[in-house]
Amino acid sequence: MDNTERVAQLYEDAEKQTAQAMERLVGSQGFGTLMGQLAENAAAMAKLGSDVMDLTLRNLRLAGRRDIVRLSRQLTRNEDKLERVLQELESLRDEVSRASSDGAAPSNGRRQSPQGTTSDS
Amino acid sequence: MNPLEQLVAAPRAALEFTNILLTTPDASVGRTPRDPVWTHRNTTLYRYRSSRRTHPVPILLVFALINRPEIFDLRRGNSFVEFLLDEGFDVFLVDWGVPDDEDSDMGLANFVCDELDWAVRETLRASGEDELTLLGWCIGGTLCAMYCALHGHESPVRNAVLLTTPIDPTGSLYGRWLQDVDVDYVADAMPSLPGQGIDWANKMMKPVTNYWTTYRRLWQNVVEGKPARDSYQAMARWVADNPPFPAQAWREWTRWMYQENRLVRGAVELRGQPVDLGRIEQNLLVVTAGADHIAPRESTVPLLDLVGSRDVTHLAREGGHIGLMAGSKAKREIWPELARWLEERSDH
Repeated sequence: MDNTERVAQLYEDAEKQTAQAMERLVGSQGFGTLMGQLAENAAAMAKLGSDVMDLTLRNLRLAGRRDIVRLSRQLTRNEDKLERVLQELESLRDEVSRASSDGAAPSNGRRQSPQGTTSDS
Repeated sequence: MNPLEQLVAAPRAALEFTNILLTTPDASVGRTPRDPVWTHRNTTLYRYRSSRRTHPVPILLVFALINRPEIFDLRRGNSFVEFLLDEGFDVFLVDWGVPDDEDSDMGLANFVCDELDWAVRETLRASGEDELTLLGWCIGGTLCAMYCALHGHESPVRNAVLLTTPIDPTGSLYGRWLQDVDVDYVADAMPSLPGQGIDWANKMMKPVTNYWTTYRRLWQNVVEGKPARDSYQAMARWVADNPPFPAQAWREWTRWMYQENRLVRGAVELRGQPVDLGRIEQNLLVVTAGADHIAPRESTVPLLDLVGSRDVTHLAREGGHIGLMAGSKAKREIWPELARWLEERSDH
């Protein structure tokens, strides 16, 4: 082993030991508490910033993040309802298909393309 | 390479090293052709194109909520999806999408009882089969376990494959970190936990390795003229792509799993239904990694004694939480083992 290799080996050993020491440090209860407090402080800062921005926009009679979220929630509620209606519809279609095929293999209600991809029938 | 040669190579290496880092966000990941089968809110169910499906029971891949599912299909030549397709499987993937503030009310019940349940339903409809294989990784594995536990033997899941899945995280590093966090305060203050914050926490578990050694090794490889640009960039891009964690899901995940350890005690309830792991009766394959610091082996193995399955296989292998399945050795070592297990259980 020449000097360059020896130095490289020494460096790698030092790096490995530092890594292990750091992992012991982050694994300690004290570091865990620190992480917890950091998360809470970050959350508090984010909320503060968001509230200030929202209040500013609202006073300027502009739609803020909160308004957009409210609209998005209404849209997702509609999407949820549509999805449930679609599932009911598909179940009914399957039942009709089963009844009409008179005991033949049930149709899954979708066309199968040659490549194996599907499309709603 | 002697020091003088290294010095001469340094300017070229510096340019290439910088280039690799700067172009990483444009790295190509998740390129296997696929078609969307179903969408709901942010969730999309994809089916991968294949002309050689030989095993009728389809596989539904489920990944965690805190990273993108492209890890299943990282890059050409090193893609688990590509491997499964080559082995003749019919592969589906559920992508949770990128939640935003309006999804803050999405809890674990939404993911397990709605999104996953409906994705299972749509997978069966699209494939025309009555049964499927659920393959979950990390939190995705826990969601799959919850799904099987909720539905018991009535579930259409024939096989469940759980990769590096947290089940009983008592004593894990995350368990120590999250023990004293005021979960309600954080979840009420933020509609979703920023992905970068979760990524930072994940990296802080091995700070020197993640913030120094990775770059030092890349530099060394560049200087030696073997930078493995494709593999580095694909993985680095995937690691840095972190969707936000919806506040309600984070609240429940942290409290139920890390603070109160409810899952193994049978104390989790979703929509009023108890999640009883004893009701898991599927053929079960559990894969654990020896050097997994996110879901250590000890946090997964308690599942083996709790499930009601008669066909239980545990693959205890070396490797890390992600490296085990997506590292350079995965294609030669763990993937063929998974394929063999699945092959034996995926025909009529």
